[in-house]
Amino acid sequence: MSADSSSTAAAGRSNAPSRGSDDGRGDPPADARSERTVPDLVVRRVAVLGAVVAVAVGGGVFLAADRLLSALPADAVVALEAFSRLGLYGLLALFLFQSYRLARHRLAGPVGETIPPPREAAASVPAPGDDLRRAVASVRNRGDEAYRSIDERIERWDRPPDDRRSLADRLLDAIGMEAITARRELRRSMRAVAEAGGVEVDDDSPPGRGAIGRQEHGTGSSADVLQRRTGHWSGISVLALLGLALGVFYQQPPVILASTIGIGFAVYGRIVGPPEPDVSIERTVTETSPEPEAEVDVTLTVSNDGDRTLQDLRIVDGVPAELGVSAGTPRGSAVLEPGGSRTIRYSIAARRGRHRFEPALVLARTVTGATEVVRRVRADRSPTITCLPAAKPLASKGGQFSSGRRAGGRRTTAQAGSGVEFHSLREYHAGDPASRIDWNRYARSRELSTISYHEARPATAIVAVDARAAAYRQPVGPVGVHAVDRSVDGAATAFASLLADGHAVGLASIGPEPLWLRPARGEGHLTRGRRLLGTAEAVGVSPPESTGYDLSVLRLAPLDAELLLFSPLCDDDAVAVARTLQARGASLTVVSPDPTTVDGPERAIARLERRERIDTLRSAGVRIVEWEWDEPFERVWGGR
Amino acid sequence: MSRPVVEPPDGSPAALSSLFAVCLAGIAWSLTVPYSTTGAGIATIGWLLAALALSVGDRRLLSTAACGLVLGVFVAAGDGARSAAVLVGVLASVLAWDLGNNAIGIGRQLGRDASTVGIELRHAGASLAVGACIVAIAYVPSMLVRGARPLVAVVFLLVAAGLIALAVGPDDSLSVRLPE
Repeated sequence: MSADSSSTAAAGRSNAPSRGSDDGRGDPPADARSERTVPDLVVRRVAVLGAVVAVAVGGGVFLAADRLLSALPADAVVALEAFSRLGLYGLLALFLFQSYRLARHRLAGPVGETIPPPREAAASVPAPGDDLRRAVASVRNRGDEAYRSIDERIERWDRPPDDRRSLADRLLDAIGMEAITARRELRRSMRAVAEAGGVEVDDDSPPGRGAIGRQEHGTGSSADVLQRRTGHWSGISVLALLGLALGVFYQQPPVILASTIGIGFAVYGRIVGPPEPDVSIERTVTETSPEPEAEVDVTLTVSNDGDRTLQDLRIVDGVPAELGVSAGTPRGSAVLEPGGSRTIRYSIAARRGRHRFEPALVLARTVTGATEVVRRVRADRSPTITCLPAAKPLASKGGQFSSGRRAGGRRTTAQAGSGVEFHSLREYHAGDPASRIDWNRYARSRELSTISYHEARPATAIVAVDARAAAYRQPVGPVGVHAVDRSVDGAATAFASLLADGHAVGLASIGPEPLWLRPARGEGHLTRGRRLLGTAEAVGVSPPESTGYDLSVLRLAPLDAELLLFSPLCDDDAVAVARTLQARGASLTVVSPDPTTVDGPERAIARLERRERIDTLRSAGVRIVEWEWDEPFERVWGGR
Repeated sequence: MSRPVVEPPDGSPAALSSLFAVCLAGIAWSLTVPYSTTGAGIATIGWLLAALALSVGDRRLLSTAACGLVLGVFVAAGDGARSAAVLVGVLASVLAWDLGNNAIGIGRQLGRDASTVGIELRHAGASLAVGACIVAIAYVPSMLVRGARPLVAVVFLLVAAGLIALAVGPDDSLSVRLPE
C-alpha cells in the first residue's frame, strides 16, 4: 500500500494549480519562480515510476491474492480495502481535475502550426482614404483628438448639421455607445459632404489587404530552422483520464477499456522523433526579362537528399514579395522517399522591377502530426526576374504638355528662322530657300518676299515621378498596380516619346532618395532611362520607409527645362511640391493618375480632396492633365 | 488594369480528410444508435458539430464535436453497449478528430488548390493502423481474462494506467507550482 500512497502523493502534487506552466514553452520559468516550481519533467518521471510500482504491486496481488489475503488478519484486509478505495477515489478526482486543465489548455491554446505568409498576393498599398478610415475607426468619443481633427477637416467643406439624429443613434448614445455614434456621425457627415461635392458614394467595402501598410512576407521567425511540437494530440489524454474516472464511478468496464485508446494515441503522439528534412530546391523560370504583365511560369523542384523518408512535407515557395501569382499555386505537399523529388508549377504576373525569389518555406511533419520542423531553404539555382517598363515612343502629339511646344514637337523660340509658326515677313534675299517665299504675295504684287517663322529648336525636358510614400496608393481591391506604377509607365512612355522627337530628356523622382538622370539624347540614353525606371529603388514597387522628400536634384535641371511631373496628388504635400517647382520658374505640367474610388465615405472624401487639390493648382496656373485609372496613356498623351 | 489573381488559402479544410472525418464521425454515431437514445442524441449533435466545424475550419468546434461523440458512446456503454462497439466507437471519434484537425491544418497551410492527397492518405493510414493496434491490444486481453479478479489488483492497474496517461500528456502540462 505504501507504493500506492507515494504515487498518490506524486499525482497529488502534479495536480496542484500551476500558473507558471503556460509561459515559456520548454524554457525554465524565470527567476524566483523557478525555486517554487517543480519542473514538468520531474513530475512526469515520478508519475512513470509510480505507474511501474503500481503495476508491480498490482501484478503481485493479482498472482498471489489468495496467499496474501490468508496471511493478513481480517481487520487489516478490511482496512486495506477501505483505504485503497479512498485512495482510488481521490486519485480519480485528481484525474478529473487534470483532464479539465488539459481540455482547457487544448481549447484555449492554438495548435502550434506555422501559417505561411500569403505569398500568392503581391504586397499591396493602401487606397486613398484608408488613413481617414483608420482615423475614424480609432475614434472613442466625441472629445477625441481624432474625432476633432476629422471634424475640422469636414468643416472645411461646411459640415452638414446633425440635428436629424436617428432613433438608433439616440438609443446608442443613451446606453453609452458614444464611440459608435461618433463614428456613424462622422461617416454620415463625410458622405453628405462628398455627395454635396458631386462625388456619389458607393457601398462600403472593407480596406484592401494593403490598408495595414507594408505587408510582411516573413515566416514570423528569423531562424532558418525551427522545430516545434504542434500539440496535434494534446488533449487526447483527457479521453484516458475521463474514461478511467467515469468508468470507475459508473462501473462500466467498456468505458475503462476505451480509455486505453486515449493512452495509446497520447503515446503515439510522443514516440515518433522529429523529422530531419534534408531537402534541396531548384527553381527555373520560363523568362528572366519579361515584358510587364507577361506571365512567367515557375517550376520548383524539391528533392529529398536525406536517407529517411519524409512522411509529410509541405512546401510554400518564396514568391518575390512584389509579384502576384496569376495561375496555379506556389504551395504543394509530398511524401518523399530518399532521393525522390516533387515539382510544383505556377505562374506569376511580371511587374516592373528586379525581383528575387525568397527562400522556400519547407514544413516537415512527423506522420503523427505531433512535431513540425520548419526550414527556410534557399534554392541552389534561382533566377532573378528583371522587368523593365515598356517605353514605346508615341506619335509626337504631346501638344498639351507644353505651352511653348507645337505640333512639330519642338520648342519654338523668339528668334526668326525656319519653323512652322509665323514670325515676320521680309524682303527676299538671294539664297533664301524657295520654300519660304510667300507665293501668294508674289501672285498679288509680283514682289518676292521671304517668310520668317519662329525658329524651332529641340527643347530640354525633365520627366519626374512623384514617388513619396504618400504617392503609393491604389484603388480598392486586388489590383496589384498602384499610382507610382502607373506614373512610371507613363513617365517611361513620355521619356521615349520626347527622345524620339529629338528633345534632350532627363529623369528625376521626388522621394527621400530621389533618382536623377541628366538630360541627354540618343538611343543609349533611352536604354539607360528605361533601366533606371525599371530597377531604381527610388521609384521601386514598394513604398519607401521614410515619408520625407528631397527636391534638391531638380536644381540640377537647366532653368529653361520643361518639367513633366507624374503625381496622383493624394496628399497636400504633392501640392506643395508642385508649387515649389512652379516657383522655381519651371514650365510645369502635372500628369495625375487617379487612384481614388468612391466605396465608402472616407474614400469619397479622399476623391473630393484630390479634386480640390487639382483646382488649387489650376488656379495657381499649373497645367494639370488628369489621367483616369482605366485610361491608356496614349489617349492622355495624344490629348483627349 | 486588373490582373488575374490567385487568392491565398482561405482556411477551408482539405477535402479528402474532411470527408473521412465526417464518415468516421458517422460510424461513431451509428454505433450508439442500437443501444441508447440519449447516447444517440448526444452523438447526433457531435456529428452535426463535426460537419459544421469542418465546413468552417474551426478546431475548437471540432474538439467539442469529438467530445460529444465520445460522450454519446460512453452513454451507450452505460445502456449496455458491448466492449467491441464502445472501443470502435471511441476509436472512430478519435480518428475523426485527428483527421479533421489534420484537414484544418493542411487547409490553413496549403489551401485546397495544392495537391495534398498523398500526405492526407499517409496520415490517415498511420492513425488508422495505430488505432487498430491499440484496440486489438486492449480488447484481446480483456476477452482472455474472465471471471472474478481481485479488486485491489484491478485498482492498481487502473492507477498505473492513469499515471501513464498523466505522464504522456502534453508538454508543460505537469509542472507544479508549490505553495509558499
